[in-house]
Amino acid sequence: MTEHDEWRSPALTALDKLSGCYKAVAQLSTVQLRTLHSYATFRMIAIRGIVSSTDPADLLQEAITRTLNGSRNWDSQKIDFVTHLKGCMRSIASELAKRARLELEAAKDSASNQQAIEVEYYAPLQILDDLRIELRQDETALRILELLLQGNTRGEIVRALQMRTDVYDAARKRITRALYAVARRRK
Amino acid sequence: MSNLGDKATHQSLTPKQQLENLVDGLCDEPFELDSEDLSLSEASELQRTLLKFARRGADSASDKFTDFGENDTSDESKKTS
Repeated sequence: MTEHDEWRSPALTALDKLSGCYKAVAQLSTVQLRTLHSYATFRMIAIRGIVSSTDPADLLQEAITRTLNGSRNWDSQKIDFVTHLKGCMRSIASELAKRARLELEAAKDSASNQQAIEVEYYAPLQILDDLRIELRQDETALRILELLLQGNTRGEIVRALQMRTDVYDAARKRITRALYAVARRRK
Repeated sequence: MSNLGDKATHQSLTPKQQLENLVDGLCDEPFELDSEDLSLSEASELQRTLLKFARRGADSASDKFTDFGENDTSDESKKTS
């Protein structure tokens, strides 16, 4: 390898990464696209009202932008593209929520206070009420839901409810579908 | 078990925080929601949008890297960006 090659190699490596990322987007299957879209929809539910755009595709695009511009590194040897994008979306949504909260706190005027109350209480309360209505005939799901709301993990819930993991996983899917349905209705 | 009891009786969480907890819990791996709500045509449309977007991003980043390789303008571009 010449000195010139060594000097160029970081740029070439970056180009390889870009090309890999583009190919990975092109190769996403319909199931993977649906999973990513659902995941983005969920992440947007938690920040609804505090960011201007609630389009899940925007969150997905931002994850791809950050991968392309290198602010989020994708190591294709260690992690698949879908899992990488989900991780990006999780951190972007969390970052947006933190920033928006700080801005609301800093404003301290009555309009901001009203918006903060709406964001912190009323809007999420309506979503949770709708979700409970959606699951009203599913007692197992409702019991799990209450524990998830308090921040308990899968292991903690399974132990607390003395439930088989496959029963928990099936109920979690029902809750997921129900929340997705609620989110789509409130779009 | 005692930790769970503490969490379950903890009333200081706002509905927003509860919703965030729920989303975190549901987004735990494996996250597998093959929702039929996104139709095949919508999925294709989403992919086209993402590809267009990735292409633009790749092109602009590629130009930047080419400039870096050919002309070593990286310091300048940093100053102006």
